[in-house]
Amino acid sequence: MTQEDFNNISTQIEGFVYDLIDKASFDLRAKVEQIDESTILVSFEGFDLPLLLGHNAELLDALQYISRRAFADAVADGLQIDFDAGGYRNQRRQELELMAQKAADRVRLSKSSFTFDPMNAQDRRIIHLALMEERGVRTESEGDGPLRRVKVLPA
Amino acid sequence: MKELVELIARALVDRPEAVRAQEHEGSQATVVELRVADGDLGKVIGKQGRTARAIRTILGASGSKQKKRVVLEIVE
Repeated sequence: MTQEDFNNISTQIEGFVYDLIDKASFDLRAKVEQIDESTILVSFEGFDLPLLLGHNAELLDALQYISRRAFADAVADGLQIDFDAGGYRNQRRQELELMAQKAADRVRLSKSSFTFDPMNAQDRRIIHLALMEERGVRTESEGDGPLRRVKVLPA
Repeated sequence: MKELVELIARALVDRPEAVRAQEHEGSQATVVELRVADGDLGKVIGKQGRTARAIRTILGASGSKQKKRVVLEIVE
């Protein structure tokens, strides 16, 4: 993607997100930034952050998903579109890494498997990566679609 | 609600000009009926209904701001 294409798509995403906020009457402000040569970060602030981040950021993820689908051609060309608000992604990663660690301790101690609640692909990936080098346990995913969940087993 | 659904649907489909949404005010909920070109149904429903679910999440959140329950019906 050329810089010109990138600027272009960035402007289009900005317009789309502003329209979404407006038509949905969300009390949110969005900032759209190019954070590296292939990543656009959309970050939100405002009164409706609790609405955006409630239920494990269901609304933030829905907006991100719809935007990725709306710009599917650019995404297929390697564009990354990430939505975040109030440091949520980073905080969520730390929380998941802690949960992964606790699950690993529990599985090693009990020698029986532990299954997490269903999570999206992004969250499952963080759990898998966190336990990749962990001794005595291994991870797999089971179930389909929105019910897919990570299982931690004794290695 | 109708405009929100049309905005999202037009961004997803190949034939945005065929997107139509109608809004009905029920006693329990607002029902939004979405119609798209036949070939675009998959674009608004998505794999395992994931796109439709995301649209419903956005509609639900928007409705909750006005203390309204919103139901999306994708007309096939």
